[in-house]
Amino acid sequence: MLGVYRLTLKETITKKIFLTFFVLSTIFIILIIFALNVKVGGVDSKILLDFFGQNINGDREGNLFDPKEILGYVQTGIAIAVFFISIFFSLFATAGIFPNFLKKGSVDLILSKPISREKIFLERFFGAITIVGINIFYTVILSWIVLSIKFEIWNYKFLFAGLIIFMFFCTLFSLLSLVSMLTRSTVISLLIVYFVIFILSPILAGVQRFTIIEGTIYQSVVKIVYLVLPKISETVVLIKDVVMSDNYSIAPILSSFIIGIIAVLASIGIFKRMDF
Amino acid sequence: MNVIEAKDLTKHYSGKVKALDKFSIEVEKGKVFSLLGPNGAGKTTFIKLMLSIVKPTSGAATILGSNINDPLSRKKIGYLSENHVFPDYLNAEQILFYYGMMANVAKSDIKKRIPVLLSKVKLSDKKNIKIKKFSKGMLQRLGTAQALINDPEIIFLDEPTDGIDPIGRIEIREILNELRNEGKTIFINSHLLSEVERISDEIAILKDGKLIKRGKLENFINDTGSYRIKLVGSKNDLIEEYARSKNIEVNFEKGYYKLGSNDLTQLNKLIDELRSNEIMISEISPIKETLEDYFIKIIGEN
Ligand SMILES: Nc1ncnc2c1ncn2[C@@H]1O[C@H](COP(=O)(O)OP(=O)(O)OP(=O)(O)O)[C@@H](O)[C@H]1O
Ligand SMILES: [Mg+2]
Repeated sequence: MLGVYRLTLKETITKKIFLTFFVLSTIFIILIIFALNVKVGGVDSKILLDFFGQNINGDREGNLFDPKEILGYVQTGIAIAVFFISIFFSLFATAGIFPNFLKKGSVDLILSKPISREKIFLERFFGAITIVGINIFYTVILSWIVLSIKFEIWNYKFLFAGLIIFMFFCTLFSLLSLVSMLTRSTVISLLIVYFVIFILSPILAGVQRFTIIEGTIYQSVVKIVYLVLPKISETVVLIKDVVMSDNYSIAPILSSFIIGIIAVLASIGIFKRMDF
Repeated sequence: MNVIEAKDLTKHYSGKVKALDKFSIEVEKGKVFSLLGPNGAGKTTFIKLMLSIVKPTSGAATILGSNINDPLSRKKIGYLSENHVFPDYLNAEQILFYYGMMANVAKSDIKKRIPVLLSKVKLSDKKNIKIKKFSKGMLQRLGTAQALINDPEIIFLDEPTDGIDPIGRIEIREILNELRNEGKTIFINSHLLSEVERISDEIAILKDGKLIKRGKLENFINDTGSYRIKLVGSKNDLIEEYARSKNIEVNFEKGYYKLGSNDLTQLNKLIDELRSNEIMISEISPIKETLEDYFIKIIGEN
């Protein structure tokens, strides 16, 4: 019963990288608990911050801070840090999930069990994203609780930002899985996905915005490739907007997520036809 | 009842490797069936096809009556693959646990079976050692235990005694005999013909993906109709003279006289003759063709 899922959890937990992430998150949260003091008060309920014993009472012109705004900045900072860490390190830590699994000799024994290949793939897939999800939500939820208590402002949209981060990771992991199915190599898959998200996607986003390339064919090719790739720069903007304002569109994460689902379906299709 | 049935099973790997070519076979319940053949004959490919580890190019097969495309056809199957690799961060007990879970065995049943299986394969005292510290033979035993975790009806073993020392081989043979006595069907791929000869009921020989011979073990290890005699001391002309006078073919090879007769009256007369001349006989026995002899002959012919 869910043997592949359990084995995948066990395998990922054995890797020290997730444990390290967990410990670092915890240290970070403990730091906020003890080092950050917020006093709401003064004129117009403005804010007095005390961080590591440093009093920060206002900007240089002597205006006091708006607590809501400050909280927004702090939470945006945390969300974006978690976003990049989860993309970079979590992808790194999960890159071997399929290539190692597909090795002759080890996959044979699992395929001989009475489970369909779809189920094997999905159990493996969800096993990997479960661990990453736990890491992301652990950091997001705990820091949210601590900050909310300190600021006395409960900004629920920060939790939504956590969900967006997780969905974006799932999308990337889907692409990684698809590339792994095709190449069966951890290193090559990881390089391809890093290239796509950190180089190709931002470049295309820029090209899109400024329409550097004129001419209908190039433009439409760029547009299609751009639409198909996960949108990292837009997602970063979206995370900031979700935390800071009420004005945002979830289109970038939704379109990325749909691409992710397509990648999962394609990976299953390939896996079902594979010989070992 | 046939628990394994394959009809015209064919596998061409990408490229042009014809690993298996229109292979048809039936295996009866409770039998020990061995598939033999030289390296690259397609033995492993056949097992992998039956377990859906590779997909057939054409043909069809059933296990316990269900089509091999149905994952549930593997519910009552145990499999020990050649060169199997287990996750090396687990210990023996954990391996059996996780592989049992994957085989959809109830947790309580797994917990009950683990100590029984570990003692069966003589790994009880090693159950808490991480398997990355295991020797090849220990891994092979663990693989055997793993193949039995779901109390299977059919056990597919691909080179089960590979890497196991002679005593370990006897132990594995004993396990297989026990399983046979419990009515399980055992399907073995092997090169070790002397092993196969000891445990198989039926045999099929595969070469270049084609079935070239199949039948009951007895049909492969016939008496040759000859006897061999060893005398104390070196060559003795008397025996040759006697054999010629009776028109029996005789050869001297590696210290033995080989006599082309199994007529017991004649052979006893020969013994009388030798004894009356005070010649000491140290051994006399019928010459049987071994599976190895047969195998080499038939592979050469094809
Ligand atoms: N995954 C694969 N891709 C391509 N060709 C393969 C693959 N697996 C096996 N073959 C080829 O198929 C043929 C049959 O191989 P198979 O492993 O079934 O032989 P075997 O009888 O088990 O041999 P051995 O006794 O060495 O284990 C060989 O020519 C082999 O090279
Ligand atoms: Mg083989």
